[in-house]
Amino acid sequence: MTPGRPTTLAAGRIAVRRASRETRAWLRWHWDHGQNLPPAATPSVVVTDEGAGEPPPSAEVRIARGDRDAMEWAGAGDEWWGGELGRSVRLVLGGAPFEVHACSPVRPEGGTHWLAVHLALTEAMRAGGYLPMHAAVIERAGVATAIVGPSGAGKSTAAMAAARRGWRVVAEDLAWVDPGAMTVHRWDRGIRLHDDSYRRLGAERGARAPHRDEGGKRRLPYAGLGDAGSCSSATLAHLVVLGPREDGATRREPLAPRDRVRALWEATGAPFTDRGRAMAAAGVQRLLEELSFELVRVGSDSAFPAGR
Amino acid sequence: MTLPSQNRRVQPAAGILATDLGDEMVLLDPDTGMMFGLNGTGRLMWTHLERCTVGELATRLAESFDVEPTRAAADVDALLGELLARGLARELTE
Repeated sequence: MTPGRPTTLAAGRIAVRRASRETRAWLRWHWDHGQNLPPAATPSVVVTDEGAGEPPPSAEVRIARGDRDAMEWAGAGDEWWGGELGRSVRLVLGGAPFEVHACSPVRPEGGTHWLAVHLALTEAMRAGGYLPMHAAVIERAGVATAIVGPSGAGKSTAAMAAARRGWRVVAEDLAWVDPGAMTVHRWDRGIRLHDDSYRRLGAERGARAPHRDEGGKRRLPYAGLGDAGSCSSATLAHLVVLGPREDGATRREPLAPRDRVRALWEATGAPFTDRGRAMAAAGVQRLLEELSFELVRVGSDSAFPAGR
Repeated sequence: MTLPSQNRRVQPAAGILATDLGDEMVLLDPDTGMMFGLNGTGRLMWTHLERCTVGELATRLAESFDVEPTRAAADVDALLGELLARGLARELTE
């Protein structure tokens, strides 16, 4: 990306205009996974470095939650401010395309600025009809199963087991879901593994030069998984909630309707704008109607996911 | 508990995630993780909460479920009281 030149991300859904070099570099690393989404004819979101201005004195305050952090946003209706000093990023969802105004961060490390850019883009994607989903997603014969559960429930372990048992791993941790098309699309860069798992699986696959994430895990790129990493999009048909591990045999149970609702909202996150909430609610409603749901308590036999 | 003024307005609280299961409306507060289920009458009220006054809600309830207006008004009052107490709704002030 060259500063000053328009660039698109997320398969043409996000257009970057008049952004600083550091903003473009950040976007390229964190949001340039466009090859995994179906191409969009026109952008639904525009990012610029125009001044974000300030929220009005009467602004309402809402909380937006990221993967690890929460942030206050001030605003009303379709216009919201967040980030450093509460106003380094402005999100406008009132027109078409949506707008994210992101100046350069005040502090060199960015402080809360980059989190705000990330949350604004995620909310804009929600408002455009896509649901972010925290899940391990595995695929067989074109049909995907999303595996959800709290951190530490065993999603990554299940993804690794699936790769060994003939499944392909669409995503280890993060994906986009298009509820209109009932498709799921990879939005991460590889499987993250603890050192012992990395040594075992990475050696099997001949992986080199691992990148460590903030939590100390090593990332094995999907390309290093061979055929098991070759599927980045699929039709989403099943959702499995991982329960606590148990001794004995793996157990599968139906999931009650209210638990389905909770699982979907916890996996897709809480929107903080009215427009994002309305679109996400419609998406969750569609997933409730179309997906099959199951609660799986993985036992000491580790019989999930089942092999071919 | 005194019956509410007919012109009072109560709105869904910001951030509450409502999901319609057909025979039940499920409300989820993402801040607390608390879930709350609304039956048929509660579902009807929630659906019209943003557009109706308390009096209009009672009228809709009476018409839809064929109950006496005073009974409908009491039901509306009771449910709104519970929604407000649980932080799932907020009262609009003039």
